[in-house]
Amino acid sequence: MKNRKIIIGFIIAFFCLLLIETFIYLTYSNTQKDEVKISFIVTGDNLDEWESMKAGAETAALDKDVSVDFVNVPVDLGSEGEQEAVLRAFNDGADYAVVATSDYPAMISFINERQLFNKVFLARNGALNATINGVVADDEAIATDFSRYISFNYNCKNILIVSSHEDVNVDTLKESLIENLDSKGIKAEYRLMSSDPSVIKKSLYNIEILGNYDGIITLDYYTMEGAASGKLRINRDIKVFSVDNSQEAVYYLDSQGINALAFKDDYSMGFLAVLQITDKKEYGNMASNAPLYYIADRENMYSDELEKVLFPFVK
Amino acid sequence: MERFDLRHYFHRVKRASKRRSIQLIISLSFTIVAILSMSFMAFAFYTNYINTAKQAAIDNNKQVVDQMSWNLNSYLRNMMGISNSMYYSVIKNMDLTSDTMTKEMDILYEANKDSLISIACISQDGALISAAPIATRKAGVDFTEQDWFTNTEEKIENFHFSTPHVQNMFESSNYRYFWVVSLSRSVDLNFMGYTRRGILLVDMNYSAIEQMFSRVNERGAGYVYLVDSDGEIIYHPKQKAIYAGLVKENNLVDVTYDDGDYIETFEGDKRAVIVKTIGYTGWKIVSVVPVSELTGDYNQLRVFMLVIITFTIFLIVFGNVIISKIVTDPIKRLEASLKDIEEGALDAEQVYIGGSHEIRHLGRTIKSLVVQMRNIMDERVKEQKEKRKSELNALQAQINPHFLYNTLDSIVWMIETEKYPEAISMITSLASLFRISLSKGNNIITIKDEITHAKNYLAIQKVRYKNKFEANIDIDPAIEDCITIKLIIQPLIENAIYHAVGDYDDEGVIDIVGYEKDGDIFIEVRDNGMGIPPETLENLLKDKSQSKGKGSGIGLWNINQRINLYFKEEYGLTLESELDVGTTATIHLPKMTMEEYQGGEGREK
Repeated sequence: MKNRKIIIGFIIAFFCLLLIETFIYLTYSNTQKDEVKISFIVTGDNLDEWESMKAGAETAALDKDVSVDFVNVPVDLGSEGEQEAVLRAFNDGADYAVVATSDYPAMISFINERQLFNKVFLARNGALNATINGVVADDEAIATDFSRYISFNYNCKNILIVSSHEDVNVDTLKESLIENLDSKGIKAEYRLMSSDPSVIKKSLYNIEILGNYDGIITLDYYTMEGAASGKLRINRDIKVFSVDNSQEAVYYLDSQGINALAFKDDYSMGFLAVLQITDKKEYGNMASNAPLYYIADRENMYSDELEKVLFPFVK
Repeated sequence: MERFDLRHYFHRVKRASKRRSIQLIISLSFTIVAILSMSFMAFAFYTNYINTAKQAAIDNNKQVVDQMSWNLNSYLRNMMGISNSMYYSVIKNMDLTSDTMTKEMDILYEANKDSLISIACISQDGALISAAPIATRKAGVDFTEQDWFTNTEEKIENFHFSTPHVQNMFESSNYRYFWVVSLSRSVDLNFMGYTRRGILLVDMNYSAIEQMFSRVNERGAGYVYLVDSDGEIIYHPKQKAIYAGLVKENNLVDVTYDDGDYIETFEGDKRAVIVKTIGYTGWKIVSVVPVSELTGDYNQLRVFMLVIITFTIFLIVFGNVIISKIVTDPIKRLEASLKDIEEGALDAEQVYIGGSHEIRHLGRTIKSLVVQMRNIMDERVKEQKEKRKSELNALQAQINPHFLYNTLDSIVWMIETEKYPEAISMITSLASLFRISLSKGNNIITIKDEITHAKNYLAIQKVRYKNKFEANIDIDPAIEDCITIKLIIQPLIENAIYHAVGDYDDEGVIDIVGYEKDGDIFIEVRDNGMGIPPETLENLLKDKSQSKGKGSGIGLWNINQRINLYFKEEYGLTLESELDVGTTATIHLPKMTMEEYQGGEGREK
């Protein structure tokens, strides 16, 4: 009788153990983790412009079981195109979206409206310390450092700040630049240029010919190109300072069409954007220390520090 | 709700641990030994297997690094071959005052343009003599300030390889900049027989090196990077992140290692590092694999082993419980038998004999001891019983002289009063009484004899008491041949006379009734005397081994004891009495003939 109880107990225990072991075996032998899919939505007609950010994101994704893909939205489609691309990315199985938006307020209201606070992140463009998480260079710090650099290295008294459009970044930059330059005794004024590149170029040529300003600070690609080519062709004495991170800007810096360049580091922003999603602790440690912008001139652009930032590795 | 008392449970566990059973000891010790042995073996096997696997993975990576080294060597040798060709086949045979090397340089460039960005020959004072592809020197670029120039000037006999840098000497028309690794050497330039020193610069396309390493790094586990002899990173899959301060690498330590494999800890992670030096450049290929990834593929094995070990432990525990039970069950049953014996059950048939040879032997020995003890005890009881019987018979014998004295006194009195017939009758009855009392020494007689004995006694007593009472005897003839212990009715009659009817005047009645009921015999002696008070009645049959004289009830106790000694406990004497009504003494005996008694029917002891 007692033996029978032991044997029944053994059989019950055996099957319980079998169930537990099967559960453990199935749970722990499957070491393959679910891959996190992150879609980067970037605005631009040429994806090559985002090569650095892509390289940064892919490097961060290397050890993290993360796959990264880049979707570029043509400039013409504007904010609506970006929003559509975000929704399409989620439909296609993306877990998160990182958007380098061309229209920050529209993207913010889209995120709020769709309640996508923990799914959509911003990179490069946007406001620092905003409610929506994002990896954004500190425009106020750029303006402060750039103003200090200009006042220390150049004897400019009258500077024109130009951009072809206005957005949250341009607004922050222009306001901080005017404030900082003014505090250093440099008169600065802002002018919104046309959105047509050829008109911008002509306008800037005219400004350089007139010589009312001894320096121009450009806040975007088109004004940078107009001012730099104007300097090379029209007035080599005028000082051109640009906030841009295109390869053309680097070229103009090298060929002395630009005197100094405030360069936002897309690579680090792409890297940190992935880290912000996948490893918040590591992101917290790095974000406070990583410089997301550099100020380069002809003298230091080939230095060990800046060479690797300004010149992406050619593949 | 019962309160959980920790101390109480602790004491219970402590007590339980103190009276641990042999089964617990066997199963626990076997289980511990088995689990320890198995764990040790599993650990040894696992460690050995994992170490072998680790070493295999490291060897595999070594092969990859060797292959990388071979590829890189070939590439660099090819670059040096280009430099040698340019120098020994072109520059050395050329007079630079009249000849130009542009054509040969272009041919060489075109033949190797996948691997090259440019070839240039520069004079010692920094003038560009020739370059391929044809390019314009950038404004403001001074060749003599370049690192490759100064390094070559410092050691003119060597080839010099730079770290990767952006080629920034020539004008670029399409905003393109190339990352290059510069191979420079000092060359002798011939100007109309005069030799002047110059520098031949071959800018290798860095992307060729990058692609070489990228392909390897796409394998998955770990990565490979390249450092120069100072620890400066030439290639790293996270090179830009390292320069941006986002990722750290242990390159300054790794460069100090000689060729071979090492385990190092970097930023809290253990990793296997394989180092291989590229000849004449001093560059080092470093392969890094996190130790966790070396054994990452063995997670399944680890879990499988865990599952197997758990099952085995379970089987061992169960097996040990069963085996220990098989071994200890006979011991436990034997122990139970001994406990029964300890409690007084000396039944040899109940002693367990089973299990292994030793335990069977033990069982048989105990059984034999029990039998011996039983026999000794039976003998002892028998002796005691006999002794008791002797004592009781002696007590019985004490009564007779008293009766004899009284009877003889009565006879004397009759003779003195010349009542000779009565005296003769009395003497005759007395003689008959003694004849039955003697009964040839037998204590067991027939009821018929016992009744005769009673009648004789009554006859004597009636004479003595001058027929003050009446005695009726009614015995079922069917029981007359059955046995009884002798002299058990007469004392009851004696009590009835002395304590009940003896002092009555012609009103006392003694009834002696014998009958069979439920297969037993009952003989009642009733009187219509004063009765016995209940407190006296309940003490009458209690132990009276020490005589307390007349009226103490020793006679009744004696009768009861004698019946109990000869027959089973269920037989004996009972008394019922009601004050002013009378007393009935009932003798309860087994129904048994003399033949049956002598044959041993089982109701006697």
